[in-house]
Amino acid sequence: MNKIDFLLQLKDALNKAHVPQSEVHDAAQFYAECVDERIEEGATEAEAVEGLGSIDSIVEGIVADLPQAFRGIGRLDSGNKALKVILLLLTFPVWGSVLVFLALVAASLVAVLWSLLAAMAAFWIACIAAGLAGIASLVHGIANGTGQAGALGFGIGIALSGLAVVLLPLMVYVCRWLVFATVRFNLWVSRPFMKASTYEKGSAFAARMRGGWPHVPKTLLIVGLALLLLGSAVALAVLASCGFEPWTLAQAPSINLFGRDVYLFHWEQDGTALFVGTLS
Amino acid sequence: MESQLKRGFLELCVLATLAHGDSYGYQIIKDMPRALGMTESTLYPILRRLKAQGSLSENAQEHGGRTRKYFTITDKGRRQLDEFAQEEQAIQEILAYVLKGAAK
Repeated sequence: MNKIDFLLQLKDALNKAHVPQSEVHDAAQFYAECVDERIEEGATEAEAVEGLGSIDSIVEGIVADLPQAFRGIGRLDSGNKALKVILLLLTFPVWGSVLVFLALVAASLVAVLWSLLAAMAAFWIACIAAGLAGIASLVHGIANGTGQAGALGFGIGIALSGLAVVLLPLMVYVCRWLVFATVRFNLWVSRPFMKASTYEKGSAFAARMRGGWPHVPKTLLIVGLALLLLGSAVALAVLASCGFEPWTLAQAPSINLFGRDVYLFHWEQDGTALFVGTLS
Repeated sequence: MESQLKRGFLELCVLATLAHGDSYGYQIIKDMPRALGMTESTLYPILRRLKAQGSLSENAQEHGGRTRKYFTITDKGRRQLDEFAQEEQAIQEILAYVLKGAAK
């Protein structure tokens, strides 16, 4: 048995024995520490758990030592279901509105977090697609005698693909962090209505997501960086060969788009065109 | 009565261990004589009881990326040990009496 399973079973057994929640928490903390100490001394997780003895004997020791009054509180905790239902119904206007409010806040936050994730994923996919479009641009350029335009598209596309590969670890890290934040937030909101074992499983999952910086093969990063540099070099070389001068863009006229002045710079020479847009 | 005696005796043993310095659960078990057969499941209720009666205090400290709970003997705990030590003569007499009875 591993540590998490052991602690879950211990908590379940203590709950079934009507041990008050504060005691359940303290006991779980103590035994988790004991497992960690044994592992630190060289035992495997399974050996460490086994060395603690059976869950029944642990529970027996804790229950036998509890004052009668505490055991009474434990029983009250799990008390009369009919009474609980009536109380819940009578107080519905209070907790119902709070619950709806919390649910809406939770849903909004989750939606915002996942929109961010969707935007990042869209950017990443677009960068990869730009690479494929760049190759198509090069083929098209060669076939139609507009090699410079094709080479420029190829350079920019390859550079964006390289950027996507270089940003991959960051993407994975942010994705995992978003999952972690969503799960933690949901656990925080739902805790009063959640079984202890479900909460523990959720916490363990969130902790795995938090994990740390993802492992990405160095070769992949080197390939990404090479693509980024190669693409940038090709694009700059094409622009330089065409005699491109950035400051000439400022002379371009503006157009009115949705009530705002948009300066759409259009630069073209020998079949190579470049568009740059800015808002006023 | 037997378990009451044992409980009281084990409590004193834990206090005696902590009298040497602050310690944590697993280390307390390792420091106690093996003959006592102390285990985690025996120690935990004793620590809880000693804490509840104010004989020891606890504080959590960071250790290797996790929390380790250290226990410290309080003045009350030390007084308990002193009181026991003062009864040594009486305890020896009782023990001798019991052993003498067992030998018959």
